[in-house]
Amino acid sequence: MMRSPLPLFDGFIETPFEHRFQGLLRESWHARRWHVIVAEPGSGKTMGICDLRDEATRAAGMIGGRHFPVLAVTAPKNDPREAALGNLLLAALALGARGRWSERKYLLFELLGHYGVECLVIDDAHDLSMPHLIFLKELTDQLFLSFPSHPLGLCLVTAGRGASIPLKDVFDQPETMWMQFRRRLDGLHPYCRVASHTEGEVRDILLALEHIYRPSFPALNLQQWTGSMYTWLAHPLLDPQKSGRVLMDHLMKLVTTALRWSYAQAEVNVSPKHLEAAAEQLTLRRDKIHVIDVPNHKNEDENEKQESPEEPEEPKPKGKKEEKRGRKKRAPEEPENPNPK
Amino acid sequence: MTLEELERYFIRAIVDDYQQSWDRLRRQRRDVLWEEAVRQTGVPQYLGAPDDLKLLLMKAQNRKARSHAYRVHDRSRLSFQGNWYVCPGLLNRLAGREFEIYYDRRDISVIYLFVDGSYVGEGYCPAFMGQRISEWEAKAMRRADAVKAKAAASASADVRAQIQEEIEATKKQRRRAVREREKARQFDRQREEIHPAQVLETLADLAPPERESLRLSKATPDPEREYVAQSLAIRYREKEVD
Repeated sequence: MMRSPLPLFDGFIETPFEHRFQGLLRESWHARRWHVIVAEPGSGKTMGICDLRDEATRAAGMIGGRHFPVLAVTAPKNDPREAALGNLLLAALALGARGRWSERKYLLFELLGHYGVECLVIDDAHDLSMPHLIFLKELTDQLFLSFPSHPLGLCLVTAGRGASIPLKDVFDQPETMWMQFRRRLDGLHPYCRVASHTEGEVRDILLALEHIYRPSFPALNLQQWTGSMYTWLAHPLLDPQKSGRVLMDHLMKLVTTALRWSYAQAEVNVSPKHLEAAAEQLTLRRDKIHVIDVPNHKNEDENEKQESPEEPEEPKPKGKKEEKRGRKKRAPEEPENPNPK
Repeated sequence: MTLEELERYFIRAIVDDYQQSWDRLRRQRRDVLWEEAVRQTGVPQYLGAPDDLKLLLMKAQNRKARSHAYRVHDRSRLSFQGNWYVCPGLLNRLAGREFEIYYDRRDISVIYLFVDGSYVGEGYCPAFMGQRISEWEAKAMRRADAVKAKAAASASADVRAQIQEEIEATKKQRRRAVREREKARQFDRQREEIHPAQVLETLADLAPPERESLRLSKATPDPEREYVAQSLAIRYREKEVD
């Protein structure tokens, strides 16, 4: 009997990366600062943003209507118009996008004040176009100059590897618009790179995962594999920059894959061979193409081949010639007309 | 004589010689005439920024002919007087645009770029490595380098000819080796069709092991000692209740 699949964790772990990342977002929110934040793809930026947004909304409460102190949207893709970003902001406020953009635009300024928005977080901000950035500046300027003044914190969260900082080349342009944008960025740390996990931090995460999966694995001990997991996940295929840091996405994939396989075999602890296999799958075999075909296709072919020599044994006609003739004639007809009537 | 010395002598010739001499037309020494004129009308003051004045006094160079105009190459560098100039972040924006170059002939390690009469930035010559190089020095260096390059090219020409001969000689051998390799590869590809599954498995076991760099290390538990682990906050997602 097949065992039901492992119930996977669907929540949020405040990892050391999230601690650093959310710390920066919080600073931006509370001090109304502007930052461009860069972290590697798969490090857990979006999870961190969602968690902070939910926490901020919960803390604001429902008294006096809904409040969204931290409003987060993903940058529009392949739509450079300011309306695209505006519509997403309206959607994040759970409002529809009806009517003309020219009218909705000014309504949006009012709504942001009405819903108590204190910090805007744009995820995947490297996809923002120049009209989007200009719109963000206009939006924040309008709110700042409104009465009473309503300054906004702004976090442009981007995905990037290596030394390059997305959006920096845009803000470095000599035009007045970008000079003003640069001036609004935080004076001390305008561009921040959030690093992923060290070996010690991987150990902390594995401890948290032990707590989470203990109900399914009574003798689970993930921490003892910290060194091996760190070595695998710092493999040049996963860490081409040789930063020596481990991404949360890779770590979770490795652990959950190994746990799934161990759970299917009704083991009480994760098996090292499953960990090794999961690590290989994640690194060396990640580009291997998985072919989905008819199950046991080869076996079926082989069976067919094996069956064919037995055919002459079934009926026993009179002569050899007739036998051959009869087989030649009957063979194609049989499958077409299986009904004797 | 250096350019600085020439400049110093030039100033001395004006101040100490020309200005001190007698002007027959006005019947007075020229420095006295200058001071009187300053008393009456004053010295016209330049009201712009000193840096702007410096730029205005520089030699401008602009090639109007489209085919010979200065252009940004590879969106990152600019060729001027046989040297490459770079300016991160600026030159990629100037790609395909017409611009003017201003420079001081006493130091061409930096050139100043103008678009439609307004200053947009400067380009630096990495080859001069931050040293002050005048236009004349740069020209002399280029001339000297060209002579040396020519000599080096002629010396290496013989070696190149020898290499080409060797290549020709080994071409046949290489072609044969490639043909044999390809044939072996094709034979190898037929293997799956030739042998049954268990034989293929045995053959795979006999094959040389994968390179060490392409394998991951074995899972080994960490040595037993006290590790300081921090417990992290875990937040479970609230399940919506109908």
